[in-house]
Amino acid sequence: MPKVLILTMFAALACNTCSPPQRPPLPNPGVPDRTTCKSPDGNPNTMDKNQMFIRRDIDKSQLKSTTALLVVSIKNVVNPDMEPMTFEISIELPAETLTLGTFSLYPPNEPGVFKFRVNNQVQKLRDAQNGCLIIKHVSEPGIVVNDKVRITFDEAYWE
Amino acid sequence: MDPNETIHYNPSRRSFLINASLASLSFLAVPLFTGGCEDIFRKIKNRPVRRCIKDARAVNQQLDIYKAAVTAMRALPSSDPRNWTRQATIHDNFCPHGNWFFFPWHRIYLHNFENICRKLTNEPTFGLPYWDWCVEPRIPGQFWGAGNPLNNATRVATSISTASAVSVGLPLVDGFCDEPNFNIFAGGNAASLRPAGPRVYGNIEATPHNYIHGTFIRGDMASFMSPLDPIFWSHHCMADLCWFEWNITRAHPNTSDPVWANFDHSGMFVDGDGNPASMTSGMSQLLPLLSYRYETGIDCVEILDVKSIVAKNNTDFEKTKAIVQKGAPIRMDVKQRFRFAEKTMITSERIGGATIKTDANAFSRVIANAKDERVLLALKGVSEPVDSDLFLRVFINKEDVAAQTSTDDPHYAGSFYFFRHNRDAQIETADFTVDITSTMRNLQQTGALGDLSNLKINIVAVPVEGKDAANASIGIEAVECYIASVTTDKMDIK
Repeated sequence: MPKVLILTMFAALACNTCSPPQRPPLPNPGVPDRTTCKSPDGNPNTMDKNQMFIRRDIDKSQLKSTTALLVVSIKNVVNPDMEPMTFEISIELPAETLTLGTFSLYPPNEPGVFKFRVNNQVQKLRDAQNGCLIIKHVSEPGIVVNDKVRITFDEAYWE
Repeated sequence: MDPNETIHYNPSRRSFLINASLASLSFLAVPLFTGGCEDIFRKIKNRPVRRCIKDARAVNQQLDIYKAAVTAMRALPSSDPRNWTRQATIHDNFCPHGNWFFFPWHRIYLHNFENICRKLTNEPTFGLPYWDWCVEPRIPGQFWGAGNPLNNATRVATSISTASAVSVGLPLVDGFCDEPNFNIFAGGNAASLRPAGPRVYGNIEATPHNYIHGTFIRGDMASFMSPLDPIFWSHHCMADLCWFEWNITRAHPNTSDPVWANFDHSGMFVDGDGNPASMTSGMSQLLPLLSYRYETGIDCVEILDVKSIVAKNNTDFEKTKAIVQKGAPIRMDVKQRFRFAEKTMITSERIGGATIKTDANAFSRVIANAKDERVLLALKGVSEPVDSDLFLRVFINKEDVAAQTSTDDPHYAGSFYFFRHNRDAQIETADFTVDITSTMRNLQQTGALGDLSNLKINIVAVPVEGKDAANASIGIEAVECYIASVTTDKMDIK
């Protein structure tokens, strides 16, 4: 996973050095700001070349003891060059990060709904004071996401 | 007798295995249906093996056959539906993704593709080798090399690229196969292959399957023309093994929703001869038990003994039925019923039969347009032979039928066998039902159906291979023919 994070950072840095308008430097998603779950640019729904991850608050009010799944939906994909699209889903709690799994798009421009088991972690999630949902693009070695890519997510929800 | 009676056709295991599988083996076509039941059972027992791709002689022999098949398919004219590109186009046009038809559709697709390979290479025992990405995360060496028919130049992955363990690793897939819920494992509900609305992916499809296609290999594999790359078929063979592992080895039932089970995957596939082939999702559950088998499990090591797996997970016949057949209860509303009520005894020496007076107009209507209605034939009150040494074959309008009459005969409607698992138990009677719509339609097209208002049913008892059936007999209380509409009987997923 560190390799993935470093590549994500390189992609962001490359952008910052060559193409205005520039955005503020990105935080390292591997070192989360645990005081807020907001994405750096304030857009919680869309990934693009400059920000291939999403950070959101967990809506704990909807989290019940019977909750079994976290549902992540991709509403729209712009990926004309069919770059590989694999995402990792995790939840950052104050004390630890829970990795729920990965999913991929096939073809890489097809949206869809993806479900992750959380049965065993529900109590932990309910007990935590706060938590962030992290959806992160997993880079493939040697591939830098191009500036045409836009991935739009819907609100995640519990099932 | 109420012609509008609603019946729930939910046969016992005894009739299920025969009625649902053997009578429907016409769907399985080439390798299974060349003789009588005895031949069928021998072929089931010796059905082709799908082996894990590793550097072993047995699997390399199969890969050599696969190469020859790919070469032969590429050499076919584009007018031949078995042509390599035509086969890929089936996927491009119809493949379901992100719904519960993902597994059955691709199983049927592979089954027909495998039959084409067997036919074109004249290798009836060919079994498609599977690429176990759980334990071999690189594209196998047998799929690389200039001039190799299994190579594909569009791949972005190289021979040393390694798939990520977080997407295809054995612990991950092992965990997915423990998922108890059908929808989470296999995908969301759908009424058609590509419905409007979002795709809801099952876990195997969302993660290892999609990753291999769109993230790892890429090139042709990233598109819906992915079957152009020969690795596609071995990749999907592994996905199919995951379904087998989940459903049979770990005894998780598929959905009981008839929308899934009765969905007819027709109008897309062709068999080894290039003729149209179809199968329902429900029937596809039986393919790894009847048409092919996996040599090893998802770990590519453990030798699978399906008989033991089924025995381990099922303490009795009823439980076997629940696991294998779950999802197949078919509810039919009987519209019209015609009955020949006269007790008949059939032996290996004595052919049985009945002439049923029917409504010719109603039958003609159903045969001409049998989308929602079926013509069903029921043998009622059948008393089984003590030693299961006879089985029955049923023909339509075949006066000269004999025990030797082939099941390839166009008048053939179905077979019924008897599993008598307790020889000392009291002899039971049972009812058997077979769908004769397609047989009647085929006969009508060739002018061989005869007088529809006097439908002739011919029943022949055939000795089981190696059994002495001289003194065996089967009694039948009545023969019924009825027209029924198939309705969707909504049931909750357990």
